[in-house]
Amino acid sequence: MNEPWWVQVNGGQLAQGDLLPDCLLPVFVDPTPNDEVDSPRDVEVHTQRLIVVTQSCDLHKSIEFVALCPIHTLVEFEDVNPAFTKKGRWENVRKGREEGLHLLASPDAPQNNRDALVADFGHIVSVPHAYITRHAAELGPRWRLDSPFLEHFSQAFARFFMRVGLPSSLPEFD
Amino acid sequence: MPVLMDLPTRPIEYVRPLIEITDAPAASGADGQELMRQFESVFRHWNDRTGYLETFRNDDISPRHVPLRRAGTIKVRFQNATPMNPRRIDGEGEEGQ
Repeated sequence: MNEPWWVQVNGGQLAQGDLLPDCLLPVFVDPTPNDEVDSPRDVEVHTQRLIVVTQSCDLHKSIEFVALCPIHTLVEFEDVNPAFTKKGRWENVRKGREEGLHLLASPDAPQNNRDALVADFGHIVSVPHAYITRHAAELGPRWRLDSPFLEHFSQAFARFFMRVGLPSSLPEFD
Repeated sequence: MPVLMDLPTRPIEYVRPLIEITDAPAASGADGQELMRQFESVFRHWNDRTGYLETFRNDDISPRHVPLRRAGTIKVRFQNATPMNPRRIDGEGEEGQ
């Protein structure tokens, strides 16, 4: 593996493929108040390592929200999905056969596939552009996916998002 | 008029090793040892193949999302928000009628 997957950037200027650790996400379970006099209420805030999926050209426009998806270490993912500890499962993901998941080399140890990161396209979150820009600026040096790995990632996301489910299919060929 | 039918696919009901090492005849001498070595190699190869195929058995089950880590709570106050009442449904199991 010779080509670097990631470049290090600084500042709040966002682009598709930006890796942003420790993003805060409020989770509204009961967003609509039922009291006539609304009193302050507690809302849980979660934190997650995210990667930007909004197209870079759209990020340069005056958009209010940015789409991101979680990105995990393999160990974090296997803790929740023990089936992925089986031989061949990550190889399926690497070959693009597991829809919704996409592997990216680790920024720190790209030659070690066990240190790779897995993006979960099925868990998209949307956060205010103003928040994520400030958060990115406060992170200091951070990682941005570089070409052509960025385009490969973007295409995998598009392929997942544009898929069509059929009510029935032809029987499998023997 | 031709109609596409939803035909069930044939599931893999049972995966077993294609060959068993215990089936091999007792080996003796250099040729026997070589035979056993090659036999083990074939055994490992095909068992790995069945193990690989077995990983596809639960392909229809989507992986679970990794839960978000809880960081704490914030106080919020809603303004200009009204309760969103559930849609009224008359009769059991007769939604929209």
